[in-house]
Amino acid sequence: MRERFVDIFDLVKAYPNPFGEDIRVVDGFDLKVKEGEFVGVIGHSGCGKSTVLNMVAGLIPSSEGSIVVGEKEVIGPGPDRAVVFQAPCLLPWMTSFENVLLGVKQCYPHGTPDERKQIVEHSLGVVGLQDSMFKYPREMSGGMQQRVGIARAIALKPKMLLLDEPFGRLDSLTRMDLQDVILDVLNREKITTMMITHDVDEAVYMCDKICMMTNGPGAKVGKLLRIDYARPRNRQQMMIEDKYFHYRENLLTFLEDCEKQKETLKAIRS
Amino acid sequence: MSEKRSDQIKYSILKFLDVTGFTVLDPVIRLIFREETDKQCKAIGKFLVVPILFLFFCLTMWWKIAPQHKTKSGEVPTPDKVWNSAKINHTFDYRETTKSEDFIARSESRKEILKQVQAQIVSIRSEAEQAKNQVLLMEEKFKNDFLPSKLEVPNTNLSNYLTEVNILSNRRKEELNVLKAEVMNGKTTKKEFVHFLEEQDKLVDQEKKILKELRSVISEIRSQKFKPLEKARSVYNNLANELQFLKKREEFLTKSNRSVRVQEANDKLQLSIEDLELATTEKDIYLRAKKVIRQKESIARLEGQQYASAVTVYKQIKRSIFTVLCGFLMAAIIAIPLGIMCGLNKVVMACLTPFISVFKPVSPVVWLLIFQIIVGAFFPDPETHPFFLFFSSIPYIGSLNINPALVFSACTVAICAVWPALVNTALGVSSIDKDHINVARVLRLGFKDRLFKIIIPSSLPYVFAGLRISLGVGWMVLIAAEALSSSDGLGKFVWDEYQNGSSYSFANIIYACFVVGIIGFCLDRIMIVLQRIVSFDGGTTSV
Repeated sequence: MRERFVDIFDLVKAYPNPFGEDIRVVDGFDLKVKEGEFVGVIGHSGCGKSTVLNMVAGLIPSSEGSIVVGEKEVIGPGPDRAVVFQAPCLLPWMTSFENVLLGVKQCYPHGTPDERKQIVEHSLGVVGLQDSMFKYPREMSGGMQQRVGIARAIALKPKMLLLDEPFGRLDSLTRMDLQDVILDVLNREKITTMMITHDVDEAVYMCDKICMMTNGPGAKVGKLLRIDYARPRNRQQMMIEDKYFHYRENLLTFLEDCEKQKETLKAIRS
Repeated sequence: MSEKRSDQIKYSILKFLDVTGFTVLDPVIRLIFREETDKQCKAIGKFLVVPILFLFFCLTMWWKIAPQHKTKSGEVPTPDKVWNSAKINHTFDYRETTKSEDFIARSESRKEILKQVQAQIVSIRSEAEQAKNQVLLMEEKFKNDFLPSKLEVPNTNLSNYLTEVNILSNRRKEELNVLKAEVMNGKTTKKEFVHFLEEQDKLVDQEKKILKELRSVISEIRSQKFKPLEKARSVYNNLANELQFLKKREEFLTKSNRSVRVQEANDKLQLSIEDLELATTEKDIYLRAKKVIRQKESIARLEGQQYASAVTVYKQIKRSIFTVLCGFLMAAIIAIPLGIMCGLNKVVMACLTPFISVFKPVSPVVWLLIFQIIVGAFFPDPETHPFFLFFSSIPYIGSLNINPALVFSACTVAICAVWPALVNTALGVSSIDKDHINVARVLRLGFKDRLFKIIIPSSLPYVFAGLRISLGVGWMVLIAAEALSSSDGLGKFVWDEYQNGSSYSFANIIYACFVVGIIGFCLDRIMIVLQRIVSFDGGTTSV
């Protein structure tokens, strides 16, 4: 197991403002992730969490710094870093099977149609959609669509899985179901994962390590928190233990402090 | 179980109505299947009965108002006249097709048809004679009973008034003579004489005016229509037309029939060949051999002959639809790839924008003239040009008489229809969901996959919306182009009727107006259905 499987070093993202000055949205973001580790990124909305994830995915270029995933520097997007977006982003003119197959074809260009079919069926089975393989996205609920999104990501056999608030648009019951679906998959496949979230409970339940981001502009890693629970985890069991509340407390205090800082900054400015 | 089945049928019908855009009929279907009867009845009342009543209201208004406006081409036709002209056009087409079928009928079937036709002629002839008698009877009645009874009062008035006027004018003449004498004697002054003359002139004018009015009243009565007579005449005319048609058929089944004529020519040829055998001198042999060759040629020509049918509305419709589809196809073939390129690449867009903005507003008439010149130059001799020979050899299309006029009409349609499709396609491609693009990037799809799996499917609804507008525009442009260029088609039909100026022309024009409208509606509906089928989100489109 490599200690620095993902190495994000001094990452900066700057956008020019109307006066031509650079606004550094993310400034000096440093993070190291072990192979197979599940790291969560938490922070207030608008602090630049998604920007970091998009840079890791290669969807937007970074201004400074470097990102290395599995000894390869990130230059552009690619199927080795599969993304599950906040919206399911399925292609509405394709069935869930075809949606997953689209990616599989890219990753296994030399596979026979039968092999591809098996991979698609397997990954749809993992997320519990054996019976809805030939349904169109419009015929499925939001939760089911997101399951297809997850299946599409894991079917790529990625080196890293990037989850961009994957449960943001789901109701709390579906959300819990899907959290378990993802944890199941990860327990089996051991994929290095980075998840954006702003739900404290979700972060504690799912992650091995939580990276708290300070408020932007100039957001960076404020604090790292290691979550010491053995996997597979049990939601009820975790809640009973004292450290659960300790972790929660920790996260909430950090977020509140960030908010206070922001308020004071505002007060100073005005 | 049976209930479930009927539910299935119901929902499939409702789905069909939804896709075709006839949602107005939705409550009727639901009512048939006994679903919330009250609600459906209310919906039918609001959205079906009221519009139909309004339609009837409009028809009656048309009926009332139309005859009040007299034009150079007669009264504005009422709905019944338009309907009548539709029927006449239909019969005309039926007769033309029957005749052309008769012309090529052969042997046994020819004899059978001939028998039927002759039987019909016998029965119709007697009917026609009866109808003629009826007409004569009615004419008598019109002259002897109808006119006198109507004319009585104004006639007596007029004659009374005429005698009165005569007496008055004689009296005035006497007075005038007296006055003349008095002026000479100096009994009355010349001033008074002038005054008297003026008074007289005024009286004469007044009398003339009254007489004119009376005469116009009488002439109006004379021109009044006697309904039974009109009816008898129209019955007789119909029968006479039918009879004429049947006689023509008889002719086409006997002496003008193709197979009969070929047979005759063959017989003659046989005689000539025998003659040739008998010939002895060199000159005779040469001349007779020549004759045989000539006859053989003429037989070959006869065998290929077709009935020269008159152009009926239905043929015009077929040709117009064919032309518009050709033009539309050309427009689609040009617009869709260009539109995709525009949407994908801003440079292409920048290159094409000036052309789009300048040429889009150009009137179809200008395009028509330009294409008329250009196409004309391409086909200096259309009769023998391989392009047209090729089209004429295709079975169904060949009968549509493909000529340069059709080509430039289609080109005009294409150039006018290209813009909406082009602009919409470009818009559709450039407004693809950013998430879908991101998916493509993460999967590292190649250009081909990106184009066919993401870009084209996601812009299809826009493309079809554009094509739908294009087809509508094309149809409108085509009718105008045909009218202007006298290219065969519905537009020419309208133009011919306008130039014709017979008693049916105006009704025919309005009939054509409805035909054009209904066909345009059908084309639009077909496009709506296509659009609904390709739109993946199942979204509704405006009707």
